Amino acid sequence: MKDQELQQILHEIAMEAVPINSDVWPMLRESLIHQPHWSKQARRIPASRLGWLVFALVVLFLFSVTAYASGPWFSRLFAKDERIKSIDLSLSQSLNLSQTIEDVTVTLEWAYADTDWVLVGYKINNSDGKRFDPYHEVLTDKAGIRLPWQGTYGVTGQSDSLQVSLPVGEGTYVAIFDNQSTSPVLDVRFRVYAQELGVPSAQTVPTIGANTATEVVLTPMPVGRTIGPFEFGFTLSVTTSNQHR
Amino acid sequence: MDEMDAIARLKQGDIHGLEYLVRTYQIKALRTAYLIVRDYDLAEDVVQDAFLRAYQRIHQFDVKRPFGPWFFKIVVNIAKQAAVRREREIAFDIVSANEETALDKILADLKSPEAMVEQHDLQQMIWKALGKLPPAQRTTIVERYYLGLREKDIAARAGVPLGTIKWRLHTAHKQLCVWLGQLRPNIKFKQFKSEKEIEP
Repeated sequence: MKDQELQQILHEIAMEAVPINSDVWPMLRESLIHQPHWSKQARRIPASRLGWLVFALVVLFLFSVTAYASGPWFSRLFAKDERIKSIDLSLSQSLNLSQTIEDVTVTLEWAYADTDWVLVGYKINNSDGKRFDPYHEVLTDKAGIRLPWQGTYGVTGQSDSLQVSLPVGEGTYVAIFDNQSTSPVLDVRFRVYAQELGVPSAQTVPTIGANTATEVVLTPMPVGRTIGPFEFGFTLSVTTSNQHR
Repeated sequence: MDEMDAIARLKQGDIHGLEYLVRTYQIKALRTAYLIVRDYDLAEDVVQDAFLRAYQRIHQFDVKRPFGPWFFKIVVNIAKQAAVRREREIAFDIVSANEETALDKILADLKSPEAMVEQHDLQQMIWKALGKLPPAQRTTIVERYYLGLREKDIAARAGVPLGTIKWRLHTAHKQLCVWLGQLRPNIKFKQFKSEKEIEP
């Protein structure tokens, strides 16, 4: 076989597969109209990623047992975060996927994807009132490639400032991942473990002498069972209507 | 409107400039992407993404140079990345299904006498053989034999030494000949020669 023969065959294959009347302009025009200045690379400030490597904010309040919620707590947390405050959470997609292993239930409530970020909102619930925190959250795309984890916001218990109150044994979280894909639709798999956290045990030791004060000795917070993995597959449409970076 | 007008408009943010470039280059771009990613829908995604990137980076484009080579470099890069991802997906599916590998299955099918009868079409055989090449080698074949680029230009675009491109072409040729020989053993295939190789 000569080079010319291979050239000819490649041209024949391509001509048969891609007809001359193929036209990508209508779809391209549509996406440009909706997002005329989309530029993921241009918005990325190298230094900003340093600050993202480790931020896991868990707001812990251990007082309430009644549940009420007057609005999503994370939208108020996000409002204070320059990097993600412009995310329009009304564009998030409802999931309501649930999985129970032993006495722990993980429920994926919603997810959001744009050209920069993928957010997964979920809760962990233990029917016995024990506290389980997320551990080792991983989001992979269809090819099995991990989207870099950028941190997780979480709330348990009650917070007046965040206007949230959760039952004992329930925590709600938002995991944030860097979307490095250019695909308009993400076919992803979310995996998380639930790790049991114990409450520090306190021993009251009477002091000797006239002083009536007592000494409280705290032991380190024990780590209990690790349950999982809880795994969920779902598909997300990537919105292009936000510019964050 | 000509190409220079279109680029000038595009630099000013006028998408009518982009429309002209899309109408001019989309068919060849789609065909190039298809040969690399081997899936029409994915090729469409690649080409749309390539035009978007060209739009975003048009300020980096030197108007003294032709648009085509600059744009097709973007197309090829995106297509190659998409091909790598796609083949990982296929490999993942197969592993998870705990079945024989895709390559073994294809080879088994091709070696069967029934398959031999059905595989007379050289075009189909080339297509199948190309599909078994790694994305980087397949991309080099497409750049060389579909886009008609010279080896040194391919090397410059990819930012790799010329020897790497020569090696990719040589091994791709060799592998294609082996596979084509398996597919149609009654035909003798001559191994391709790179530009500077001399017939003994």
